[in-house]
Amino acid sequence: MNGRRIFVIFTFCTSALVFSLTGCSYTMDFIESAITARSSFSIDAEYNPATHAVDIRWKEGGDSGAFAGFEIYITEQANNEYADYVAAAAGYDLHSTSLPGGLTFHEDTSLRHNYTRSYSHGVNVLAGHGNAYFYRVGVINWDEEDPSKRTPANGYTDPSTDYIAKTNIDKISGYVMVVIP
Amino acid sequence: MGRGSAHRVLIFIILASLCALIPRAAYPAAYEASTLHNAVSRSETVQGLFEERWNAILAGNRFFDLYGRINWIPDFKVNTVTMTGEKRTVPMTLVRTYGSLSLIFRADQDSPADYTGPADTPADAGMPTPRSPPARGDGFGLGFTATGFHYGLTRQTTIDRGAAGSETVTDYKYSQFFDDVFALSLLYRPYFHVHGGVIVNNQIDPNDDGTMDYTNSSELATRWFVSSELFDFLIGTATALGDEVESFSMELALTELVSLATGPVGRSAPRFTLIIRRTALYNDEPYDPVWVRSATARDGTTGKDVNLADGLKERAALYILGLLVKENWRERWFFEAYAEGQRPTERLISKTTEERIDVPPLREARASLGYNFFAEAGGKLSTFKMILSGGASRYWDTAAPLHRQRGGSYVLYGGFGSLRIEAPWIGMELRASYNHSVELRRLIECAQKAVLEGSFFASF
Repeated sequence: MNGRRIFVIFTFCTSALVFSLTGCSYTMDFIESAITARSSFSIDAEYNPATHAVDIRWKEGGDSGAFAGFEIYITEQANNEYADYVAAAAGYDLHSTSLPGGLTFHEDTSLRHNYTRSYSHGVNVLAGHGNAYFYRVGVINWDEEDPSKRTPANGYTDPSTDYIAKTNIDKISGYVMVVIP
Repeated sequence: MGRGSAHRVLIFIILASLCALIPRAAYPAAYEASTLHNAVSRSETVQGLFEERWNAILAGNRFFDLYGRINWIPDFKVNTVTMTGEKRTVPMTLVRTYGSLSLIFRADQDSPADYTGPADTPADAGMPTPRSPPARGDGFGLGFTATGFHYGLTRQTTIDRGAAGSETVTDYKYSQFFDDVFALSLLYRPYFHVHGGVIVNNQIDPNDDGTMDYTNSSELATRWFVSSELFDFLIGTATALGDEVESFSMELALTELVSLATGPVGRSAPRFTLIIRRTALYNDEPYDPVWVRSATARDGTTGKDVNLADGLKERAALYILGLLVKENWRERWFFEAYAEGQRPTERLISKTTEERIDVPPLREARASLGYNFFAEAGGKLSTFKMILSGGASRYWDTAAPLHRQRGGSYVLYGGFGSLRIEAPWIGMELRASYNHSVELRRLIECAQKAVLEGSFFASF
């Protein structure tokens, strides 16, 4: 038995073992979910009557090199599980205007940091109607994931404007319903 | 025992083994249509895709094959009750993804220099002399294949990031299905090859928030399957759950059979394949669109409904006889036509009208034509291919009235268009279809819905 045949047999057995421990269905689902930005982690959220705010908590963090911030999203319509979402808070001002019920966008520098795992979203203007809203959390990445390349020569000059123009949603959470009495 | 006698014995053994499966065919608790929750039908689908891939591997004598396909059915309307208690019709996307990896190890992979034969001159005696090795692909081989098929509904949502623009994200909705085939293949080309393995059917329910945990299985089943091909003309396939054979089919490649007597047939000769299949489709299950024999159970008093006891459920099988014709004219034009007749073993009663369904003899008819823009003169095998194809079909199904969006007919007319590009070792295909029988057969729920598909492969 020559060396070439030994290598072929070894490669065959190793590959067969690897793929027998997984399944192509899960692999393809993973690929498709990456293409279509599938929600990948869960969050907790509940209304805090003492502060008139929705307290949101999560455990997911971002890739340290590419991480740009967290964003908090709320449904544009009340009582609609399938409504689109709008950014309610972020580490930089996104100038969101289509927030529901008179809410205004919150710029909070705590959302710029990868160690942040909670946020309290003030919803005083929404109180009194008993409506349900749905929340999500987004993990935002810089388009240029290599920190050493985020330089003025590559167009990264001001974080607040760069954040608007040069970031994308890397991971999105599932949604949680919160009834605001 | 001479070589011819050994071949005849081998043929008898294989035929006897295949025939031995027929008397044990049992009725699966399954129905072909309404396939989203039907593990038997999904097993047949993933097995069919497995065989489709192996046909390509064997035709090209490949050692490695990697294939992926993603299929979307957008605007798949689902009636649902929201978390706020509201009834709503929600457009979702039915996603189907398919992946396959095959590794083939052939025993006769020595280089020509390793072969020795009679010395041409006394001076060469004892020295290795190259002689012609066997034709590429002949001889023993061992293959391993992992094939997987996932499908389920997803829901797309738009996120407005203000001045940063909008992005779309998706959530898992309702049960997700993962069907995987793990198979070993024994090849002894050109005489026969046998595939055998397991089909693992896994149903996973997503979390309420649209995320999913792969370990959160709600239903898991394992089926066995075996498929064999003899001399390129006889193919037998069977799938079993435990010790019950759930499905069984045989294909007879008539052109290849004739070639055994007349000698090799040219590549441009049309290929005829006769297909015989017996599938137990109708089992009085809640997801079946019909009742078997009557809307009243055999006790004469119990009306059949979704809560019908298992002991009162009746069963019926569907016999199918099909003829497939393929023509490859000089690697430039590709023609395919298929027609299939049907006959159920019992009366079928519509659950909607409670009247007997008049089952027509013709179940499916389809034809397609493809043109290779890079075909070489003289019909030589071309290194590069760009094949534009289109086709039309007619398909009859008892579940068609339930899943179509307009009308109430059992018949669906449709078609497809595709563009396939092949280069050495890699290729891709884009395909769009509407009511095409190939898709309807796999999933009748896609009736009157556009289907979009992209696939790629790496094979050498």
